[in-house]
Amino acid sequence: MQEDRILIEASEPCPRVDFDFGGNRFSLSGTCYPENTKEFFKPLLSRFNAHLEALSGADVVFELKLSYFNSGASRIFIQIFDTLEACADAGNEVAINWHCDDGDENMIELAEDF
Amino acid sequence: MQLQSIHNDMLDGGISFCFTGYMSEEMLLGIGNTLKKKFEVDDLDRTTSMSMFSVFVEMVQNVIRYSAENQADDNDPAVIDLRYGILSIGKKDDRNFVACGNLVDKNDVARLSRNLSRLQEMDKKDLRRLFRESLKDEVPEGSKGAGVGFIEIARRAKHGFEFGFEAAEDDREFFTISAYL
Repeated sequence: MQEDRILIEASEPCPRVDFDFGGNRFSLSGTCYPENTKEFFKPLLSRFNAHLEALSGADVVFELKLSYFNSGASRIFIQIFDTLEACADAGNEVAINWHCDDGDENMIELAEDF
Repeated sequence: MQLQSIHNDMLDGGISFCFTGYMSEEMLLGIGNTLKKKFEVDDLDRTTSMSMFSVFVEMVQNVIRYSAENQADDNDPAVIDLRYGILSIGKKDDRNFVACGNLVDKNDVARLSRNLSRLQEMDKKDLRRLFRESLKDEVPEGSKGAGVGFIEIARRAKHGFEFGFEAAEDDREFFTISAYL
């Protein structure tokens, strides 16, 4: 049986990952700028996508608490948000909480871009 | 060794940090942490220091990725050369800069040059729109080498950026890009 929760401690340039599949609480924090972002996220996202597709009537929260991420990570986040949007369209309650520090203009602008 | 004269030349050019050698993820992490500390010591405001850091990461990862894309054989010395680069950071005429140079294949020069010129002509709003669009789209054919990374550099370079090419050995040219923040 698969573990209900994937917890990876932060190790620069990779973020702390806390994906709680049982509680539908997902979080990325720290910094995120691995050279090969796709490779880092591939195993995580294949499970994440499959899990979200199977949900119905669930309450999902996705949290981003990053001080910095690179352009490669942006491409991954947009995919995550697409999956979350599809999950909401399928009748689930979905919230995305994007935490930005006060005064971090770049991050606030990026959050708006998404 | 003429380290003293190299050092003096650097100071004249406003360069406070310089690296030349092979670029790798380990080097990126090590220098990245050093830079973060330096920005703190220099008391740079948060937005500028995050922008400098971002430009640094995108530039170095461009070099690493470019060499990886052209990598036929890890041990081929001609290919390893593509990881060779120079990175410098400093302040000149009240503008902070991050500059990077590396060898590129002659065949890539025209495309790189065209794409970067296009970014140079864009204002903040255009760049932001292009960034949003490029996140959604797969990288279009023929735009390899001016993907989201270069858009990010152009966005953060609030005083613009410059680039150039100089003939190098074999079928290579030395590509340089300097962003002003």
